[in-house]
Amino acid sequence: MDEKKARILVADNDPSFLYAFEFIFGEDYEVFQVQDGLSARALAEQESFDLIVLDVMMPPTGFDEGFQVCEYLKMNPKTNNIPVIIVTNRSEQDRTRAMEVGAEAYFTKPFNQSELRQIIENLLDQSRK
Amino acid sequence: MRSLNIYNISAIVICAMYIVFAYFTYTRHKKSATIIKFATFCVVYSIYCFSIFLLFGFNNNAVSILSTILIVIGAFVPTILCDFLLTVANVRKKEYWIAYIFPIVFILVSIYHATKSQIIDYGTHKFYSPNPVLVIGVPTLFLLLVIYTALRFRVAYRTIRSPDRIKFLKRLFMGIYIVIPAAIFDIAFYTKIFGVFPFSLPMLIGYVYQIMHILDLESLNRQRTEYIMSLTHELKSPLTPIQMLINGLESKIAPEPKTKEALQVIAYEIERYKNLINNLYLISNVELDRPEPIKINKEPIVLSRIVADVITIFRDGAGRKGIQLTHQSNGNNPTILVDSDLVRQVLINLISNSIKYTMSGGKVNVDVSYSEKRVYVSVSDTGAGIPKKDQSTIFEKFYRAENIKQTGEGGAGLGLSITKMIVEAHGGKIFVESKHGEGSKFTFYLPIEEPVGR
Repeated sequence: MDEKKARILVADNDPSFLYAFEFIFGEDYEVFQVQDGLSARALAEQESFDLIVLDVMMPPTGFDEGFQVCEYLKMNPKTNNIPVIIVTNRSEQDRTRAMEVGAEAYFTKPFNQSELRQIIENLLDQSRK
Repeated sequence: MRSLNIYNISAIVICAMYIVFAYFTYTRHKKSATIIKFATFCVVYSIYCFSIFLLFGFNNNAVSILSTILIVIGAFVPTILCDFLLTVANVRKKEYWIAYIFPIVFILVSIYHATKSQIIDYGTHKFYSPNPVLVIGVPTLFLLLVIYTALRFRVAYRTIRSPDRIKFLKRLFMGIYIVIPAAIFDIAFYTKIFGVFPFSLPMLIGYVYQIMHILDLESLNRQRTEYIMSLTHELKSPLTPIQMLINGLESKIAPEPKTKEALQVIAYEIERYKNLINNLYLISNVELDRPEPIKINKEPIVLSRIVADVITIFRDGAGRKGIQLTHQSNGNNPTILVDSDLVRQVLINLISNSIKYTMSGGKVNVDVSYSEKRVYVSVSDTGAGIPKKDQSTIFEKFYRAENIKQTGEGGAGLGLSITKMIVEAHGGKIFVESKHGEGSKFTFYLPIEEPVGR
């Protein structure tokens, strides 16, 4: 591991999920938590992150906020090079939508977490190069 | 020969219309338990048709007979069918008789009438001779028609009070669209029978509500399924952090063996729970008639790896029940293109079924073998087996074989039907071989698609 931990932004309206994410990845990465789409956008613009993990159903729009945030971040020149992972407990059917808005990876909850870890590491490696 | 008149034309129009409606209504219900009530109804209704024919059909004019047959087969069968299905689907149990009242009244009146002479002159549309049927039968019929209409009105009204205004207007529009030809038919039909059109307004209102009721039932069904879908979402949400934390605890804290085992039991049960929710989700997707109910996201995987993964999850659970869970794979384990999550779901369904219905001391074996174009996976057990008569029906939704119900094991009857759908959506097939008391063997194959450009 390099001296500086990678910074990950996680947005999910479920505090338990955020806690679990921090519990598992908190040692290896610096995890920032937000609970809605607006603060996710704001924080992603203010600070610099190496990776963003987004839930789909979040306030304020509820239904597809994660996709909207992803689209927004990918349009923004400041943030468009940060890899995005979309994590949702909606079905596999949304995978195409996730790819359309430019997300690098898509996971349905509950997921295999070693797979998630693998993907996170791969994406971080790619963006370091 | 009489040319086409308003009776014939309206009969044909109504025929076509109701056939379409009956079709839609029927396809909505054919898979539910309503089928038994439906069969009972068919018997009652065939008698009804026959009696209608007795009442109105014995006429020396061939065209008139034809039109009567058309009316009976085309208009009445589907109408009453719709009525029946709607009523049993929507009304509380003790009100089922509403569905029968119309045909029963006709049967009673017409059987009595059929024994008497003809009372209607079809040329002038007038009654002849004071017949006891006219004096007692017809007023009774009218009265019952009114009661029937009023009851239908009430039943429909209860369903129709939807808060959604836009949908309501849409339904109203469609209702009117269907009721206008229906009204023409009614006027023609009742005028032909009774010489006058007796209860035009209540009948019309009855029809409007009836049609709206049909449309409403559709949306009710949808709402229910959509509700189940959103419910599966809610059921899934808390699982994610639970599962993450359990895995995290297991790998981080290095717990003592006993705690570790407890954590594994929790993880195993969560896996089963998750699979049940996935099944429920898929089945409601199919119910909603989505264009692609089971969407397949093919990705290159090594099938044996998924099998091994699922086996690892279930090995401990099987061990606790005293069942030996083994697996073999022959061949060179090529990378194939399938939807890994769905295939995983298939394996979990089959393996957990086998474990469930195998007694302690038994064996469950998973075998993967490759041919040139297909990969075969079979899950065999030494469990209760499936009686021959159940083997063709176990893949049906909600079906559970008689002998397994007696084992006292719970189940929703979803697993195998989902499994079949997933396998078939991949272009594969699933079979069962089983001997009662000796065990069963489920085999499915998936076509091998080599990943392109990898």
